[in-house]
Amino acid sequence: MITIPKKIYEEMMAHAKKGYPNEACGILAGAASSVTHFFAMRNVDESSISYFMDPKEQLHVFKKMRELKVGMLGIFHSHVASEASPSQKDIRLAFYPEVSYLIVSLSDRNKPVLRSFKIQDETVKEEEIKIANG
Amino acid sequence: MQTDETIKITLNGKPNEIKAGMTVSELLAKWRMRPELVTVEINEDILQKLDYETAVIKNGDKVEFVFYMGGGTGSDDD
Repeated sequence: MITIPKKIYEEMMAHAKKGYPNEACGILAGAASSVTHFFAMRNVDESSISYFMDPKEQLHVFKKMRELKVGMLGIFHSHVASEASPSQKDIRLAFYPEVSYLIVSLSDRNKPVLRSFKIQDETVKEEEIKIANG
Repeated sequence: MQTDETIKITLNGKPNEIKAGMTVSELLAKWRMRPELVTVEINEDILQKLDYETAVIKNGDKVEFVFYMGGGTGSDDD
């Protein structure tokens, strides 16, 4: 299970909607499965069917996480017109087995659907998301 | 050229010791990382992948690497 404070959940949804019609992406950080920080990242692909984070921005965020003494807990991106489940491409390009892969579907932009998965050796397991108040 | 000597580096923020003379390619191979999937930075400079074979890591270097983060609904060929 991954726990996300409501405020951060709202930031994630706002970032995904702002990026629409392109896919949006970000990094979630925290400790012990509880998210404390969301880093909105730029999708350098600027595409409605793919995302790619800027490696320079990634390196910056990794250093920032160390400064904050938090670890990467999740990699987030949006699917703008399909369901919130990992595509073959998402599975093939999942190189961090220890983190959660969170996908929001904006098929209905008024009712975004967020789901989370662990992906290891191309095996996908869904996990529960808890949105915490506060 | 590698020797029996070791050097001290900082790897992703943590102290590490590696054989002197190792190139970035050799370091990635040691950890079974595919170079095409990794971005490597040494002392704040991102290396071009073409330089991985020749870039020798020196004592005191700050080495950072991150894996590719991407995906999306498109096919693998996109």
